[in-house]
Amino acid sequence: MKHEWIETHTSHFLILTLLVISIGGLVEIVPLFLIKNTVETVAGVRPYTPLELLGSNIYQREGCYLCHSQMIRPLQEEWLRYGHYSLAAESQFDHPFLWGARRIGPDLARVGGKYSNTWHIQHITAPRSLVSRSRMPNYLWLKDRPLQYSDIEAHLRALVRAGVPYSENQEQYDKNVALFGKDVANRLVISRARENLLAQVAGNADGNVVSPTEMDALVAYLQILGTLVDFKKYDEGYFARFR
Amino acid sequence: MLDANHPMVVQTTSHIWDGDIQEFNNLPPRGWWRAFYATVVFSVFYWIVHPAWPFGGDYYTKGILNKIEYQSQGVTVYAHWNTRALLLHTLQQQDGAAGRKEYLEKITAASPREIVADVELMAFSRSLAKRLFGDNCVSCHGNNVANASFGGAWFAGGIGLEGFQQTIENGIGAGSRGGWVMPAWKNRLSVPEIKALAVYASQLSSARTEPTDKK
Ligand code: HEC
Ligand code: HEC
Repeated sequence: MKHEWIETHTSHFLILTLLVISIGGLVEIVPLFLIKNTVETVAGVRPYTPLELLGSNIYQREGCYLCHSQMIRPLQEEWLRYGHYSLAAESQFDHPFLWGARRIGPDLARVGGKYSNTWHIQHITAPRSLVSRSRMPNYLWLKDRPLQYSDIEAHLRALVRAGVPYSENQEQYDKNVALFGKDVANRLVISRARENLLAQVAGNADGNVVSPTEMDALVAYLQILGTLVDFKKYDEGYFARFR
Repeated sequence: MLDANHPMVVQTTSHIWDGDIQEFNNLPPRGWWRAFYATVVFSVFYWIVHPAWPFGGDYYTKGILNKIEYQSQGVTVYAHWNTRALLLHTLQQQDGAAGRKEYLEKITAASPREIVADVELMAFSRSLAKRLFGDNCVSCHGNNVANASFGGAWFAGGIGLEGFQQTIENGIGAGSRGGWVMPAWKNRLSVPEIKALAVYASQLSSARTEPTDKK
């Protein structure tokens, strides 16, 4: 084939380039879709509650993932520092997943429960007041900005389309009860989203319940990261069997 | 370069830019070709040795000659090569793993007071706790009195070693998460880790009451 045929026709060049590049992606990704074991069978992982979901949206909006990964790799160093390696099952309800690749700050996959809410609020507002050499920006506005949640139902419905089991009718609700138990299923009902959201803010106690802030949502999200699976229930070799 | 002594022997890519700029269509150097074919041969070798091809369901080629051995619930398990099994293998069988296990078991069995009394256990416990303290506690407690940053939380030492252990296990403050002053660590850290930290924290607190003690 003459170079000229490729190099002087943009469309030929484009199509061939795409073909070549996609081979790498296809060979690496498609096999994982074909193997059932990719997502481990494990109890406890549930979709985000409405408040946590909005927290995740703020996490994305503020670009926290540019400095923080949420992916603990199965390496000794990471095991020692962050805890159990991340499971595919733990991000099965994330759209988009926030694994990230850059670590200017520490990995956050298991940050839930590591600090108190008050610590998070102070740290996000003024990181250097707690960690004197921190490079994290001051997110001054999150504490005062009211949380925009009037469109929460639309967010949940969009995720339903992506396969996340929030429930719209009795049948779906019953399914969720079977999957996650009654408590969790109640928090996944779309028509009760606002009520659930406000109740969760009130439960976290330090928010102004009348008008929840963006900080309330972000911290609620951070506090469940990596806490859903109880690893004490599984023996060490169990998750290796899925590979 | 092109003259009577150097006749044009290579093709050009056959199209011309800006009226007169042409490009030679030389083959890459031979060394480059060799390396390229070597990568092709390597990939075939890699497919055979490593887990590679899926055939639907849960079946995929597991590779050969790549067994990894690890212990799970007291039984020796052999798995095909994968990073999770490799991690367990490393943690269980690398240099010093047996010794570390032995010390962790001793710490689990000992009371914090017994740890302090045993010089060897104490040395192990301190190096374990130093790392854990850096990863988990410094951001609130600081690493000396001067930079204890969060709520002035420095160790008073009034509650004794067992008190420290219980505080670390259960955290401070009850009720919802928002009410927590210090999180509970019993679900994040193991028993020997918590004991080692209790001892470590108590030593930091005595370092405060005797500031002249440089050790
Ligand atoms: C410019 C990079 C950068 C950005 C952007 C950033 N961080 Fe950080 N973050 C850091 C660094 C560096 C640290 C470590 C020092 C510290 O604790 O402040 C850190 C620490 C943290 C910690 C404590 C982790 C631990 O285990 O101690 C949390 C939680 C956190 N960041 C949350 C966030 C959130 C939420 C956002 C988005 C609103 C964010 N970060 C954005 C750099 C960043
Ligand atoms: C979210 C911040 C935070 C983190 C993280 C944290 N602590 Fe605390 N800790 C506190 C606060 C606040 C107190 C209460 C201090 C007081 O009562 O003055 C406290 C108290 C303690 C006490 C009791 C001290 C006394 O004199 O009664 C011990 C022991 C302790 N922490 C150990 C640890 C250890 C070990 C870790 C790491 C595994 C840790 N803490 C992580 C905030 C934290």
